[in-house]
Amino acid sequence: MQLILEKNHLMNKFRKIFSMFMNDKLALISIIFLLFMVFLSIFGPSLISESYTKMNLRLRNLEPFSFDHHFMYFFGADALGRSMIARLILATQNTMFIAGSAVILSMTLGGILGLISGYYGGRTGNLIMRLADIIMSFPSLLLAVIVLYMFDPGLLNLIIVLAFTRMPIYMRTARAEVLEIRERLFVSAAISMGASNLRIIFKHIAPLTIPTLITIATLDFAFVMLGESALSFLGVGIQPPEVTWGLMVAQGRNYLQIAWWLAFFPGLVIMLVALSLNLLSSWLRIVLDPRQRWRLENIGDKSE
Amino acid sequence: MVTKVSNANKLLLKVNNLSVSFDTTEGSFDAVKAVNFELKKGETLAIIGESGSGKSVTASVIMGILTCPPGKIKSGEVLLNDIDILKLSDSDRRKLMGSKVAIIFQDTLSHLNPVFSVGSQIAECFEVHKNLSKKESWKRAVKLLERVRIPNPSKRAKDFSHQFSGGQRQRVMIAMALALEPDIIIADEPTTALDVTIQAKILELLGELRDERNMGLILITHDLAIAAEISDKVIVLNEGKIVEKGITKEVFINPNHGYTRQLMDSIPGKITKQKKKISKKFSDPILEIKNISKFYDTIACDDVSFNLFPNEVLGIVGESGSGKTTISNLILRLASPSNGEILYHGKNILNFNKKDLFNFRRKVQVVFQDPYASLNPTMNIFDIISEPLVIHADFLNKKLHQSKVSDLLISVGLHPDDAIKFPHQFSGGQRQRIAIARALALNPEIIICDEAVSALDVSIQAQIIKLLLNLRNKFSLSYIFIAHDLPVVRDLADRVIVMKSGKIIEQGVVDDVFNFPKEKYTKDLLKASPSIENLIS
Repeated sequence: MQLILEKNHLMNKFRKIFSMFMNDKLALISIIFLLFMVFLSIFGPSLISESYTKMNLRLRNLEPFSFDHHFMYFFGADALGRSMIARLILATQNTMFIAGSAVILSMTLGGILGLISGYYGGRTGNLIMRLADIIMSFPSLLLAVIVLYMFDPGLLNLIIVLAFTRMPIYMRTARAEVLEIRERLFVSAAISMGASNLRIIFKHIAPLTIPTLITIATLDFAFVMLGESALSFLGVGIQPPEVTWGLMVAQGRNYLQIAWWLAFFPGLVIMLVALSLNLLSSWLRIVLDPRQRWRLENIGDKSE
Repeated sequence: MVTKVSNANKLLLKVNNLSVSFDTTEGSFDAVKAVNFELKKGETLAIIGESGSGKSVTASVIMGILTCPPGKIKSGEVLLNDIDILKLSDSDRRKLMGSKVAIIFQDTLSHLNPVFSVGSQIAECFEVHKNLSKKESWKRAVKLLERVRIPNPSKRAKDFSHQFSGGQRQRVMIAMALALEPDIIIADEPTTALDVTIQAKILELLGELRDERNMGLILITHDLAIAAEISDKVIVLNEGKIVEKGITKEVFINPNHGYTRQLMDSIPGKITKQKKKISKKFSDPILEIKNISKFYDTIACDDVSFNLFPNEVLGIVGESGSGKTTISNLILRLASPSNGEILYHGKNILNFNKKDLFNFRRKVQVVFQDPYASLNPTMNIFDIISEPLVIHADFLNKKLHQSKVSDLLISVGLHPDDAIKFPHQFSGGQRQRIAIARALALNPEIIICDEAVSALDVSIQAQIIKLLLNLRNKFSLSYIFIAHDLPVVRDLADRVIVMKSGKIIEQGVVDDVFNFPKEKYTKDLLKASPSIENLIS
């Protein structure tokens, strides 16, 4: 009985979320596009099999939008005659994984550190904020290059370095929000109920800071993709034959005057992903705020 | 104070059949329905109503500041000196209104520009509207400040709005409203945020200026007592309709409409108390406050001592800055005292270890003033009310939380289905009920109500007070009831403490203190508090 109830509850929740998507068409398109990207990053490589390394020197810098060749060459081919489509799909996995993990990591760590610093204040708070200052005072790219040069320029290190350099923005934002929320009456109420510090931070303060942090994170996603491409361009990031969108843009730069599509298509995908994330985040911000949620719910009630 | 000026009773303003509606997602909502009234020179008209009654909407139509859309004026005319201002073009209306009608708001801090000195803000009126020189404008501004009795006006004119107290800011607003010598002043809840003694002075000033300049005064208020003090005529609005209008005295002595009578009955200070004689005086106190002091940059509370007995309601009254809230924070251990002891059942709570403090918190709960801020907006009502149960996990089995929350909601007069809603879906009074339900969850011994009904309309206030009294009997609670509103304390409290600048001035049984105050300050407080009895008797 309990199980059935819970299942129904889940179904209802799912239906509710779906109807909230239906009421924001832009968010719906974004989530479909992003889910498609996630699908590509998981199953893409096995779908395109070997074609991404297959070189065809006769098709070097093949122009896009011609039907003369295999459909894999519809977006043209790169300087070594490899299919752009295959390369884009292959890059999806690396890019989404690197940027996604780096953003999530920096948001979580930065957010938690900011919460702690804002809530406790005093020496702990100062220490954390000075750490943020130190990170910010280094040119982040230089720091990343040095670290990656000293350690192995592998995937994991790349993620950690990117996350680390992007952390201060979350720390500072979270702290600023906490300083204000901490003084609100419902926090005083929770303290006088005997709530533990952890409970106050995660149950009362964090939910109010998350919408802001998520908005920053989606903006940051594009930034991290470009940062990754800069590192890869300098040779301390992703190593060929692995590829990312950012790296494709960087490599395509040399051919910009004779083969614009080499940089254009990966750039376009980066832009579309960033745009979708932004649209999705504005939808999410409304969903996460109970006072705003009716904007998406009410219309649904009427159409039912 | 109700002195009528025997002047040619010239009609200033006439509102005919005014209806206003608002477009919302749930269709059109009628905020004002066919309202008629008129205002003559030297006359004060009080518009009385609770939140949502349409009184402020009416005022903004008269001022020409209703935002359309979503607002829509459906019918009616507003005749200002026989000109229908609703038919004028925007720019014509602005020209006419600026000099004829002025408004005073409740929230003075947000209506004064923080980056200009108050003198320059008043002087601006003269420069713009009358094309006077800078020097002359400034001189007039200072003169006006002097008229509204700002001490040392030539110097204070250079100060900024945050450097004035609430009452003084309201005086500055009045000076600004007077600048262009309007025919009509609309005062929208001008004294709601102020202490009683200051409130009395502001009302006196308004009455004086009205007589001096022979203006019409429209006073919008939810407080019947204020209307009784100052107005000649009243209209009572309920849900956008005028339910009663007439000469103030007649309306108050002999209200015709049920709603007016209900409002009159809700006025605090009238409830006949089923007061228990406090035989418990001899029992041991639950809470003993001994010589506590708290110093911030200033002295917030100085050598305060009192006891709280079981099943007793202890009122603490005083004006803002008297240290009432500091005491509540000290008892709740939200702050630590600089000196003194707080004994709970004979044990000093300041020496409590973590576990003792946790148990203490279970027994002492709080209801804050602002029900909009004291509930977490991201949590639903079930989560909010069950939170104390979750924190004190050993209190009740988790499976029983659902039914406990339902019981609590019922006992504060809400519906169990409300549990899945969020705070913003409730009105102020309902939110306060939720906060009370949360305070009750752990069967506490003491509930501290810090201005718990100050933000509510009178009829809601009366309901909450009744609820608090019932709950006291049902759960044998003790309350510490902090308020600046004396009649409310009179209704609810058994004993009362009067505080001023951090010190206890007077304490005793409520009836004694209210009927035979010993200290001058208490007498002043009581005298300043407006009341309808003065008018009727």
